[in-house]
Amino acid sequence: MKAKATKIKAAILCGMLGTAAVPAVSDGMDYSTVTDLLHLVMSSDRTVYTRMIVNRLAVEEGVIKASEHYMDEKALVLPAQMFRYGAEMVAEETDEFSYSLLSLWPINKQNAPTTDMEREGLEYIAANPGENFYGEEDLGGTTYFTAVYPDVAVAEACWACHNDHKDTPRSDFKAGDVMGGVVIRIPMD
Amino acid sequence: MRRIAPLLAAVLAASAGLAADPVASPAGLDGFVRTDRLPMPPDPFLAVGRTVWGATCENCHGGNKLTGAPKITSTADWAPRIAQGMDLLVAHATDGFMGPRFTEMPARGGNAALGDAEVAAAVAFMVWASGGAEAALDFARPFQTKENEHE
Ligand code: HEC
Ligand code: HEC
Repeated sequence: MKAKATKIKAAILCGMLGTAAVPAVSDGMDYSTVTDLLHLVMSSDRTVYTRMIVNRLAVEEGVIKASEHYMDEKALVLPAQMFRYGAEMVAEETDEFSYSLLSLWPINKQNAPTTDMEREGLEYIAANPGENFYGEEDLGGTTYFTAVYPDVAVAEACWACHNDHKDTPRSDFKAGDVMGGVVIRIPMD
Repeated sequence: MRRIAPLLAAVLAASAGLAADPVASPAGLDGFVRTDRLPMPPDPFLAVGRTVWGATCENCHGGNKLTGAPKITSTADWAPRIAQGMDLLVAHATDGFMGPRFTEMPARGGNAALGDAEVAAAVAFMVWASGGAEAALDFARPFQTKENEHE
């Protein structure tokens, strides 16, 4: 929560979110405001996918399942895959920001934290329900603003699948637990 | 969702015995609510419910917005639900329940080890602390009688 005068050009945000120019924004925004808004879009989309697609069709109606082997099994992509594919498309398009879904207990080892700040942020959100984490880190000579937001076990499918998965390092997730976090990073220089 | 006007919710809450539990208000307590911020109910069945609630239900009903769970102490969240009657609330908590926007209340809060009475007690405690003191105490009474009969 370093509310320094670290501003980002409003134009970037408006371009990304597709919003019309808002007068209050023209002075620039705090980095944390930008990451909060980005996260709002990401988490809303993730929640809609989990509730309106996976919960509705796989859990309530039982007409299709969600599986990591969605091609072979003609299934829905998992919520985490949906999220990662989106992040990969963004990474191809811009280096103004990047994001990922990480965890201290990842099924996919590529989703483990790789920097000290990622680890610190994931530990913080796991210990403080409902709170986000903000910090700055130097990576390869560039300073980044890094925000970490909790990703929560909102549906039985989340903990049932993770606890039983052959590659999971943790099998005692329960309803409402923080299972990981969304990391959003913006270069500050 | 089954939201009703806050004013109506407040009226319902007041008539359901808001005065008995000062933690309840339209928006509920600020921030994430853990058991230690909630009063000890004047009834042993509800007191059991408080313990069960802290271990299993708090994670979502403590104010975890991402889950879509109604927040304990929020009468705006709870009054329309309490109006459905304790039996339906207990059935939804025991068997699980998917809301109209596909938010998920998992069966027994996802804790299969909980017995029926424990789930019912946790529901009653949450209702008690969220503006429904009267409904909760009425609901708890028969459990008391049963316990006394054993002695
Ligand atoms: C059917 C199984 C399944 C379901 C359901 C499921 N996941 Fe996952 N989850 C996975 C797999 C497999 C991965 C690894 C995906 C990848 O990156 O390739 C994963 C990745 C993740 C990650 C990144 C860290 C890691 O473990 O690799 C998080 C956080 C996560 N899931 C949370 C959730 C949440 C929250 C839900 C419910 C909304 C959920 N998952 C539902 C299987 C599942
Ligand atoms: C995964 C998070 C989660 C956990 C853990 C959880 N709940 Fe819920 N609960 C929900 C959600 C989400 C709803 C709202 C569903 C809706 O109406 O859309 C809900 C709704 C309810 C309702 C209202 C049902 C109705 O008919 O309106 C009751 C009662 C309830 N929960 C009791 C409990 C009890 C008791 C526990 C602990 C034993 C518990 N919950 C644990 C997520 C949770």
